Amino acid sequence: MVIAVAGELIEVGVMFAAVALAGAIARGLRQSVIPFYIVSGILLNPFVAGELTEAVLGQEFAVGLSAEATHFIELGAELGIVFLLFFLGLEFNLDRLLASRDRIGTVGLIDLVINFGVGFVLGFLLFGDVLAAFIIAGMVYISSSAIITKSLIDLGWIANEESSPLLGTLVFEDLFIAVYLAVLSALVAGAGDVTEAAFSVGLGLGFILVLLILVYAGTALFTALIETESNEFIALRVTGVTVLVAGAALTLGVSEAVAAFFIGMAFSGTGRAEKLENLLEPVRDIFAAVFFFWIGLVTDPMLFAGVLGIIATAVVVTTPTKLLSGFWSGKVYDLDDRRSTRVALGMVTRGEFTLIIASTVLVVRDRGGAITAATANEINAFAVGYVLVMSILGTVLMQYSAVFETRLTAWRNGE
Amino acid sequence: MDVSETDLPGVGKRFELDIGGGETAVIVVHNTGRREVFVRPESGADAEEVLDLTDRQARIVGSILEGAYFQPVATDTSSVTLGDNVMLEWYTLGEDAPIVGKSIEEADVRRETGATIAAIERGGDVIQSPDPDWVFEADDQLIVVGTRQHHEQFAAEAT
Repeated sequence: MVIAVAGELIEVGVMFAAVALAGAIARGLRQSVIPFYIVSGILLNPFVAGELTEAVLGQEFAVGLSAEATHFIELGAELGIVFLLFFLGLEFNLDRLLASRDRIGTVGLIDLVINFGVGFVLGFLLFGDVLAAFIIAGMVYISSSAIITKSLIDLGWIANEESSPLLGTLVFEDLFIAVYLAVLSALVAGAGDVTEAAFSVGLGLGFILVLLILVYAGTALFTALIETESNEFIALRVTGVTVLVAGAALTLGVSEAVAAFFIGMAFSGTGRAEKLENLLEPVRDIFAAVFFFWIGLVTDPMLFAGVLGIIATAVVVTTPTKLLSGFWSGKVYDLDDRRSTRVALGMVTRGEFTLIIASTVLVVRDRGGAITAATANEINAFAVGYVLVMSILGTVLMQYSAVFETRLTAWRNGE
Repeated sequence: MDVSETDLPGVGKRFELDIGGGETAVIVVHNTGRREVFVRPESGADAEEVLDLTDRQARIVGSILEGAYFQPVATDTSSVTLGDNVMLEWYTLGEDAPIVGKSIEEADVRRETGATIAAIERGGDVIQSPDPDWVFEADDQLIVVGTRQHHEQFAAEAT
């Protein structure tokens, strides 16, 4: 046993060390950690580290993670998705959304129509396929809650009015993405057969319905579950329920991410969301880092060459769309030009959810679904490249927003 | 005094309080327990961070501000609102205060002003419910309970 796992343990150790180092570098450069986690995965993947060492040292000495370690990382990445979405559900507050539904609804729809709409057209033009268009639309629509929220706090914008439309839009996007993932996983699993597609959509919606009932009727049950003073038991029980339900969902062919989202919502109903967040935050952060590493690990950077044009087109098209919808959203909240500019720049960042959509596509590729392996690989490479660009671009735009604010104000005043 | 409260989904809550002179105090309470205190110098300006505190630090700072660590009793302004209109207020008797030299019985503060002397602090000792023959001296600190009207009367006639 000890000997058998020694090799894998050190490989997993290498992964965690690489991710930790990537995080330190990102912090030093005042950048988001996500692109750096991904790059650490790319550098250690068989297409890069493997090929390089094989070329230099010969096949026997080729460096690469073993199949077992890779399997562990893939499972860890899956847990990362589950915990990311669980937290989204935990922090999601339907009452809060309903309380300010007029403004959040308005900015959410502006954001959705412009970005999802343009994304869909762009996807169809690039891939000539409705399903691919639907996937690209989701990928370019969804901004990164994690990076944007972090930047808001780091820059102190959280104390200003611009944080309201930014966070409001993110709440809307979070809700939309839960529904979107449910539909997407059903669509891509359909394998082109209408009956089968209808069945999997029906199954997916049925499962969500059961979870929704659980969210609204099961509060007493969930409260009883975490009715203990022991932090250890609370963490274990919540993890137990969440991963079990997510696993059950995936077994049924339903999106595990959506299941985790609803379980998170159910736990937020117990009124102890903050406690759970504090307890499970490190767990989420560790597995989320594994998820980003894994995305890098399974991406062949040579594929970037093939999708470079698509990435460039998407960056050029979908940066202005977010700027437009963001600026408009600022105006809906009665903000001045300067603050609306910040909302615009803030929404540009794409990150974790774009990659979660990509991972859904990869799952389907491995199972054999409605998308060919070649298209799936292409879309995945696109998503990774796109997120690498947009996460860094978005963070930098926010950091240098003063430049844009001055320019725009001067221009609007006719100077 | 108006305190406005804004939800910050995924972060926590933001409280804003007008502190006069056009300035606004902005306090962001993170779900993690972290508290950030900002001051917005004028309406429409960016808030500037003043304090970044952990949960524990914030509680200590909070209780200092609240007066639990040190109560500036000698000032005119220190008062605690007990109920709808009833306030607890501290008074320091000056040399020329009308009641100095009188006993509690002679001063008959409650009948004269409506206010009640709950306790007296002299030389660091607090005397609760002093006897009727207690004689007031300069520098006595009186802890007085009453409505705003009673306090006004007390301040005018007794101190």
